[in-house]
Amino acid sequence: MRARRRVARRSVALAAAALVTALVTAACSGTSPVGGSGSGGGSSSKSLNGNATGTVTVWYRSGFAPLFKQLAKNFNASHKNLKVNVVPVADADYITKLATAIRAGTEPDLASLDDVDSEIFISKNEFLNITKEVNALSYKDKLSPGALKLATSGGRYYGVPDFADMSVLWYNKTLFKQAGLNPSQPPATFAQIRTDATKIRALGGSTYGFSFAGDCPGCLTFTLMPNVYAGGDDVLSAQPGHEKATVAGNKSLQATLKLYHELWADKVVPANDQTQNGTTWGKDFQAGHIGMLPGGYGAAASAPATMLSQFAIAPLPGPTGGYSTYDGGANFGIPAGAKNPAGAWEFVKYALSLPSQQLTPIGGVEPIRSDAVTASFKARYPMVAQIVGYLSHGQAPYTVAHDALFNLVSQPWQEMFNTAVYNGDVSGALKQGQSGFTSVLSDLQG
Amino acid sequence: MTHTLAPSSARDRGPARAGTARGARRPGAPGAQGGRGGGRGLAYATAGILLSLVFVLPLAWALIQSFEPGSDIAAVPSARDFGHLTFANYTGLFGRNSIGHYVLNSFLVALGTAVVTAIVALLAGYGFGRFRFRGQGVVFGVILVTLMIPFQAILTPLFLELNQVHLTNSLVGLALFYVTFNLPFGVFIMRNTFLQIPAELEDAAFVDGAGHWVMVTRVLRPLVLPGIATTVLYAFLFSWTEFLGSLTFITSQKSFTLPVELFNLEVGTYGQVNLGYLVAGAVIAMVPCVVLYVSLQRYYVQGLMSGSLKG
Amino acid sequence: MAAKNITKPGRLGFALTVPSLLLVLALVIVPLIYAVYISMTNFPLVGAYHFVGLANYRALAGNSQFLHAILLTVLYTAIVTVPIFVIGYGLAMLTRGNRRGSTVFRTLFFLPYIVGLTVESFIFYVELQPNSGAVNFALRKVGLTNGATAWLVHTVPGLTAICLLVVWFGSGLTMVLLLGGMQGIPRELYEAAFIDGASRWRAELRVTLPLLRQSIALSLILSVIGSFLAFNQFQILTQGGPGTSTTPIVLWIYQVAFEQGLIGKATAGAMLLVVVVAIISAGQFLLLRDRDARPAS
Repeated sequence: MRARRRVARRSVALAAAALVTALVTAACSGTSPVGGSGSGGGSSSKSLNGNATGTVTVWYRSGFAPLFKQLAKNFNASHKNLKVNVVPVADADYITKLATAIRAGTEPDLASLDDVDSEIFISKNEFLNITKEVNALSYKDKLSPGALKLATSGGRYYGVPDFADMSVLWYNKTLFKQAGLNPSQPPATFAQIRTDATKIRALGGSTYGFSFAGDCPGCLTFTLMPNVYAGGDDVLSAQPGHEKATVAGNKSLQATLKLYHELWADKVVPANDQTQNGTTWGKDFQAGHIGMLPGGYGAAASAPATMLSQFAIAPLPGPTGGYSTYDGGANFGIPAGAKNPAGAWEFVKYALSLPSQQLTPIGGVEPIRSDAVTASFKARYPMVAQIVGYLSHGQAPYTVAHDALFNLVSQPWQEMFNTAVYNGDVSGALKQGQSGFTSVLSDLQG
Repeated sequence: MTHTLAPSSARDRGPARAGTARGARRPGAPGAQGGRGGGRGLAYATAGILLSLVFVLPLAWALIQSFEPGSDIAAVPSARDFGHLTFANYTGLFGRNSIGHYVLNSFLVALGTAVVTAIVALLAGYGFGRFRFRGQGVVFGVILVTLMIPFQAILTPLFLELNQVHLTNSLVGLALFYVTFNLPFGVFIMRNTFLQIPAELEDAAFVDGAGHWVMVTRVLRPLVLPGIATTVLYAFLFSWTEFLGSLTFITSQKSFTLPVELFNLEVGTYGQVNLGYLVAGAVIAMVPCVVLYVSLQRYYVQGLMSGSLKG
Repeated sequence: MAAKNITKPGRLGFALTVPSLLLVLALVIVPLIYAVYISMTNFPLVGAYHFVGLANYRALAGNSQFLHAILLTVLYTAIVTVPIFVIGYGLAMLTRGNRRGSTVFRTLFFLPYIVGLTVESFIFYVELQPNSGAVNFALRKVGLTNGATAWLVHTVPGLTAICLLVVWFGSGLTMVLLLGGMQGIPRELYEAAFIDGASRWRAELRVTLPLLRQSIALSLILSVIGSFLAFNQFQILTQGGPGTSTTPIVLWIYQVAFEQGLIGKATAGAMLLVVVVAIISAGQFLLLRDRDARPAS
């Protein structure tokens, strides 16, 4: 009896060991050590033209649901043999989910992702080379150059812009008038921003001259970087994968941080802005309490018409003039392992067509084609038309490290901002930023 | 420490009697005898009431606030003004945000987790508690090791593994994951429960010709029920409020669970944040917990308390 | 007794534990082994990876954010463990007699634990908002502050708020675990102590505590492990900020893995955490275990 018991137990132990081995092997085999799901990433041997059939799975960031749901509806109504299935993915996990899906072989046919994250995948050959197809687009020269650059590597295109989400300077014409300022002359230099903000704050009460989202690193990147770009500088240099931090000695960044510190110290900014993490960003501007608000179109566009008519838009200026904007928004990328790349390209062309581009304001964003601003579009969305006019001056960080530098309060960008603006130590902040950026980059590049 | 129970009447003991029968001697601590002086009684009552208020206040407040519109909650109040109480948060959540769907998902997963955990833990607890086999300690140890591993550490490998067997983006896969991480606690409790059963009870039943199945389901059931209730409740609650695993393994919106939905409400995934929705969502999440707890309370508290007796 | 061997073969006992064992093996042990492997590679979020041996571990030794996370976790654990235990013990003492109302009190004290830390973190997120949140409103009404404290954006207030939340949440569990042990202590022992002239507190020390060893051990182990693995409340309330000043180790792991995309590095940190938690638990377990725990047979 004892012997039988021992034998029985041993066979169970063996079975368990076999199970463990099987599972480990299965788990490991699901991920190849080399690249993603391995189907020739980066090559354009798959033809993307010609008859696409079946279904196309498209991932998009769930905040833009109204736009994508409408696009899908229109697309499916007008295409007989090809159907699109648009899948929302929460913004915060999008990159992780896409990356994991690629490893696991369950990637979508098409991904619409934050354009500054494109290089994360492009630099590792995870998106298809679509240079031929992009060059064949008749409107290619009308696409946002800044966004297109973010989809480039080694002179080739591995993605194409989808829609734009750019930053501007909103200002309240009524408050300008009340403060004795000319509402058709928004500030064009830092000095002017400071004087205008002070005059508006002097109106007293709960009226403030300026506002920013002080605890939202992404919002700050979106609104401060144009000030730096307009001054002719950047915080990163060289190709993605080999970036260097150019924070130390960055004159425009120094001037920008100094401006924000002064605005904070002058108390022309609401004290609450220090804790504004983006969730109620723009609410007080929409209520008419703020003179100037750098932000995106969506920051104030949802105000009621009576308020909206008092607002106007200006481009974000550089320290002593010039202007720029942040080329936010989305790029498309076709994962290397996509099952239906031809269908994916079909949807891309559809999304870039004029009618689809002119739908973008329903998602709170802007078209990525400058020729989408027709006379009727301008009449309907005058502010969006104005924003699209800034496309030629737009830039965004060209890097694989965007999510590791600019996204979280624990990352170097926010820490640098805090030190400069709330502690008043601008030169210390630049040093801190330089070493913070450098250490993150070396981790990623090592 | 041994307890004596009259074996012959074990079969007709209901759970309530099992509870008092365990402490056949009255609970020993001083203060058990009521009214040792009016002063003591007053101190007890005051302390009890004050502390109860402290413990319950945040939850009660959330309940009340869930009827305030989101704009009121976010507004800077010059005085707390409950002038606009409304159901709007709830109608909005159930309507436009279809929160009912996520509640259902959470409920299915939690129920499945609770039932499977209870069954598996019961079996294991019986095996550990009433049998002896070599390597017992090792197997128990392996199961307990799970307690010490933050699953964030094994998130990526686990995801890849589950993906191979098509269990990601599946409520079933999620439930299996929850079951596994509830097993240490459940097995621990069930093992303790079974350990405390006196041998005489079993022997009597065996002598009467009972097989194992009858043993567990009939003879030992009243003694074992508190442990099962504990395991079920704990597994349900864990699964109901678990958030990161669900966020990671479920990729399509239609399979989201409630905490993920709450997080989306907090960070404004669907647009501007509405604090009223967030609070109302939290209240919706609270309700089943409280209901389940209050109804199973008797078993649960006893189960935990008895489970902690023997290591 | 011979009958037992026939009706309770060890084989059957083992078989009963197999489903649990299989689940744990498949969903915990296997990924753990795989994770150990990953910790020795430079596994990035996207793209190829290769073996780097112990490089990740060596880099961690000099990584200030990692070390800071460990420090914060230890500090946090130290701060909350004692209050949770002491308050839980007090609650248990208060409600252990079967006086009128003690069951109701017990239910209410345990309620925060039942509702769960995740939901409560969301609630506190709303209540700790400057100016509009209930906490600040109350403070202003009472005159302690001007009601504008931005709890969640500064290190010390944020940590304070989280600690208070966790103590409120966890005391109930300690209470319940200790109650069980307390109710099994025979009254005769107390009576003997009182006859010998001991005060109530002396009786508590001499009689209750020693016999409560098991329950105390369990509640402390659960509390300490829970604190070491804290994540949800930090993620929901402060997201680890400002900077990394309120980033406990599990949040660090999560951020490095899924924000920076350095899964190899994060997993190395995670493996170290597993070892530390195992050592602490084993230590506690050994120190406090009941020497004669055996199945009643």
